[in-house]
Amino acid sequence: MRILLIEDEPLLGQAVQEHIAADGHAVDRVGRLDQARAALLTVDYGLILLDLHLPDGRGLDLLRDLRRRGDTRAVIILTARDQINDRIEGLNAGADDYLVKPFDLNELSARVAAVSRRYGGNPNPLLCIGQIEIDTATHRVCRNGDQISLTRREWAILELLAHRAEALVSKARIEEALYAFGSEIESNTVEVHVSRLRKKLGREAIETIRGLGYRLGSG
Amino acid sequence: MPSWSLSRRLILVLTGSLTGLWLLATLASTLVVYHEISEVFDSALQETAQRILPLALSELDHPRDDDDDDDDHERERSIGDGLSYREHEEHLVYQIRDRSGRVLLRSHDAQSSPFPIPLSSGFAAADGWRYYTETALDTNQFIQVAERLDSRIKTVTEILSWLIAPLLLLVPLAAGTIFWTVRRSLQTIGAVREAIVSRSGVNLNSIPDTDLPTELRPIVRDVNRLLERLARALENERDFAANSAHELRTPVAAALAQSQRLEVDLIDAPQQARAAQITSILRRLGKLVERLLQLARVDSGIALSREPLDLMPVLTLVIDEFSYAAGNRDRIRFDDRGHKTLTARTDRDAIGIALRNVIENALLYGAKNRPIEIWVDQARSIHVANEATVIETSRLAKLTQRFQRGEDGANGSGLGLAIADTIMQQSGGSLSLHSPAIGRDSGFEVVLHLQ
Repeated sequence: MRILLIEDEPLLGQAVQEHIAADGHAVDRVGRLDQARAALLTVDYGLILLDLHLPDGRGLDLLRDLRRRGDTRAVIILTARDQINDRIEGLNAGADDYLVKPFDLNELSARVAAVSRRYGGNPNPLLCIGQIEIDTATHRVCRNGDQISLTRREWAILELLAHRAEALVSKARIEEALYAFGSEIESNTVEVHVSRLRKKLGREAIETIRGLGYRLGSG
Repeated sequence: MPSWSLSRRLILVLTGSLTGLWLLATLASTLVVYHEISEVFDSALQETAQRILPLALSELDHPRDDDDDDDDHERERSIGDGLSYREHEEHLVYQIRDRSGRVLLRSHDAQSSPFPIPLSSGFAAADGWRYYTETALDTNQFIQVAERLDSRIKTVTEILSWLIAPLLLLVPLAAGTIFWTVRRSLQTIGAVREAIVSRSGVNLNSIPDTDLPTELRPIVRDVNRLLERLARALENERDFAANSAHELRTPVAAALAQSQRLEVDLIDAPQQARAAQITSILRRLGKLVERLLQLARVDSGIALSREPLDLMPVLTLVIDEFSYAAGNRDRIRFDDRGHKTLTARTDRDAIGIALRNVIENALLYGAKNRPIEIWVDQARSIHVANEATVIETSRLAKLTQRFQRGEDGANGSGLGLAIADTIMQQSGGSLSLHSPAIGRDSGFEVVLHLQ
C-alpha cells in the first residue's frame, strides 16, 4: 500500500518510514502541511499517517478538508496529545485510528496492517464479518449467502463502517456522509438508518459505542 | 488569640460608651443644678434673715403689754406671739440670740437650745442644717436662720430622677438602633465573605464591587486581583503541563522508534541485546513521562472544573483504547448494567486519566490471562476488578500514595493509583480499593465513586 507519512520530527519520521517500509509498504514522508497537500494531489495514497502538530498548521484541518471532499482514505493520527477531548475531536474529524506518542513501532505496524486489510490494494475488497459478506466494489451485501437489498443511505453507512471495520466511526462522520444525499438530517436520522440496517443484517452486526459512534460488530 | 466578633465589639463598645457618657452628663448636670439650687436657697436664707431681723429687734424693743410680766421675764418669745396663726410645719426656723448666745426669740419649730454654731456672720452647716447668721451691729444681737439640707437634696434628687428616668427608655432604644445599624452594615461584610468562600478552583470569577461601601471596595478589589492572578497561574500551570506533553513526548517517541530500528538493524549481532535494553528503558521512560505529565496536570487542579458531563463516552473510549491494543481484546469485559448515561460533575480528561490508570494498573498487576471486569453499579460508581492474590489491608491503604508500587515486581511507575485518587478527590468523589474484591475470596477491586 502507498502510505503518506506527515511528521515533522525527522528522527521519528525516519524510523517510522523505515519500519513501515520493512512491512512491505511504499512510504513517502513530508514534514509540512503544504507538502502533504501537494503530495495528496499527485499520488493516490491508501493510508495517511498524520501528526497533528505541524510547523505550518494543524493536522486536523487537513483531515477535515479531506473528509469534506468525500475522501474516505484511511487516516491514522500520530500525536503527542492524549487528552480525551483531543481524541473525540480526532474521531469526529474522521480519523480511523489514534496513536499517542511515544508508541511502539510494532503497535503502529499492527494498526497499519488492520487498515491495509480493509483497504489494502485489493481491487475487489470482500469483507466477511461473521455471517455477513460485504463487497465494497459491487455494493453487494449477503447474509448467510442470501443477498440483502439496501437503500442508498443504508449502503453509505455500511460502506463507511466497513472501510473502518473494527474501528469506531463517529456519528458526526456518518451524518457528514449522509449530507451527500442532500436531504435534511434530523437529530435521529443516523439512529433510524442504523436501526434499519440492524434489522436487515442482524442485531449484532453494528455495535453502538454510546456517545461516540458505531462500529461494525464481530457478527 | 481567641476569635472575636466585630459586630459584638461594635455593639458593646458603642452602647457602653453611649450609656457611660450619658450618665456622666447627668452627673455633671446634677452637680451644676445642686450648686445653682444651693445659691438660690442660700440667697433665700440670707434674705429671710435680713427681713426678719428688724422685725425681731422691734419686737424685743417694744414688748406687748401682756408680755410685760416679770414672771415671764425669762420666757422665750417669737414674732407675732399673741396673733393667731394656723399651725404649720416650718421649713425655715430662726433664733434671735444675744452676744452671750442666749436665745431671745425663736420661731415655733426652732429648737429651744441655741443652734450649734458660733455667732459669726455668714453661712454655716451642721447636723444636716444650713444656717445663716446676721448681726445687728448696734444692739449686739444676732439672728440665725436655719433650713434643713434635706429639702435641697430632695429637690436635686427629684431633678436627677427626671433626668435619669428617660435614660431607662433611651438607652435600650439607642442600643437597639446601634445593634440594627451595625448588623445591617456588617451584612455587606457577610455577603463579601460568602462570595470569597464560594470561590474555589472551580469558580475564580471576580467578586462584584459595585454597591459596596468605600471601606470594603479596596479589599474586594485586592481579592479580585488575587483571584485573577491565581486563575492566571492555574491556567499557566495547566497550559505548561499540556504543552510540555508535546515537547517531552516527541523526543522520547523519536528515541524509542530509533532504538527499535537499531534492534532490527542489529539482528543477529552481539549488540542487539543492548539495543533491546535501551528500547525497554525508553518504553519505561515513556510511561514515566506520561505519568509525570499526568501528575503535573492533576496538581494544577485539572479535575477542579466541574461541569455536568455524561461520562459513558469517556468510559467506552478508554475501554476501547485498551481493548484495541494487542492482547487485551478478550481480557477486558465491560458491562454497563443497563446504564445509558453516567452523568457526573467532573472534567472529561481528568476522568479519562483516572480510568486509564486504574485499568492499566489492573492489566499490569492482575493475574495474566484472567479477565479485567469493569461495570457501573446502581450508585453510578465505576468498578474495575481483576484477579490477584489478596493484598494486606495495611499495604492496600498505602497504594494510593505516590511512588508506592505493587508487589510481584511489575514495572509500574508507582503513581497510577495516586493520580486516580487525587483526581477523584478533586472531582468531589472518591476512590476506594478492595482486596479481596467485593463479594469474593480473592482479587483486587477499585471503585471510582463519582459525585
